[in-house]
Amino acid sequence: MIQNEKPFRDVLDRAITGDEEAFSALYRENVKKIYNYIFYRTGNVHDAEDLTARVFQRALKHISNYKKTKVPFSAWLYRIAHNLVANWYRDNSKHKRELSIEDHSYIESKIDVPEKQIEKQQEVEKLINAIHLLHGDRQQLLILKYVENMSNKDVGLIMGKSEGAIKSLYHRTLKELRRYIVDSSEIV
Amino acid sequence: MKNKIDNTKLENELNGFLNPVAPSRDFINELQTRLRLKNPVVVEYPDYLLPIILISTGLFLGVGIIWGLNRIFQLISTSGKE
Repeated sequence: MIQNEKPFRDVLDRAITGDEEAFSALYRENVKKIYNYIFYRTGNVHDAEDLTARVFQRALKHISNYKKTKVPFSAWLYRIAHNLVANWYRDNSKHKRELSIEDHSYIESKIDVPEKQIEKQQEVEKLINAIHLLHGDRQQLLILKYVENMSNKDVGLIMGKSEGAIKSLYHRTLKELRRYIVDSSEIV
Repeated sequence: MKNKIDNTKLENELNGFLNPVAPSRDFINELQTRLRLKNPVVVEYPDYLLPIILISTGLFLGVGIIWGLNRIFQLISTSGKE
């Protein structure tokens, strides 16, 4: 359901007034994308499930205060998720945040060659660990662009930036990510 | 030129490895149930009830204190005359 269509706007209006069925519909519409975002930010299933639950509990608590604008409803959920993940990073700063092999077995590589699976899994782990070294906004940009296949314009709506700013941020992000990957390769 | 090639290679890797991850169906269903339970039926009291209770309690306590003090003074004055 595209979030600007009339049926969606009706569901949103009803959810704002406290309709549980309407909120459930919004939940179903958005839970996978929020989960994906948090999974890639935290790197493990347990924290992804915990934080996803907290996003929707917080959304349910505050939905009556939600102000409808041109920005999609999912942007509000992403903002809640982003803030909860930032708090999670702060609280877990002392722990290593590297993705374990078991956790990213959920991630299916598009390259489906069995004998290269282990090698590819190691590359995935290296890439995602490098992504985790980026600033939160840059991680968000990559996840929205590649996991959710959003255009720069849609990413901009979610992140509250112009399309031009997103393009610029994207190029800086790639540069930084390349540097982290090269650095980690040199250590190995 | 080299930067452009490196970026293309990195973008291809990102495109190949960053794929949607499906949360478990059990998790989705359980969370939906928990969200519904967060909103139990609540009996709503009128907004003016709490102020009435507070003012009444205050008045009752005030009258009680004044009566009690009055009794104490009476007892003191009675025992003083004796």
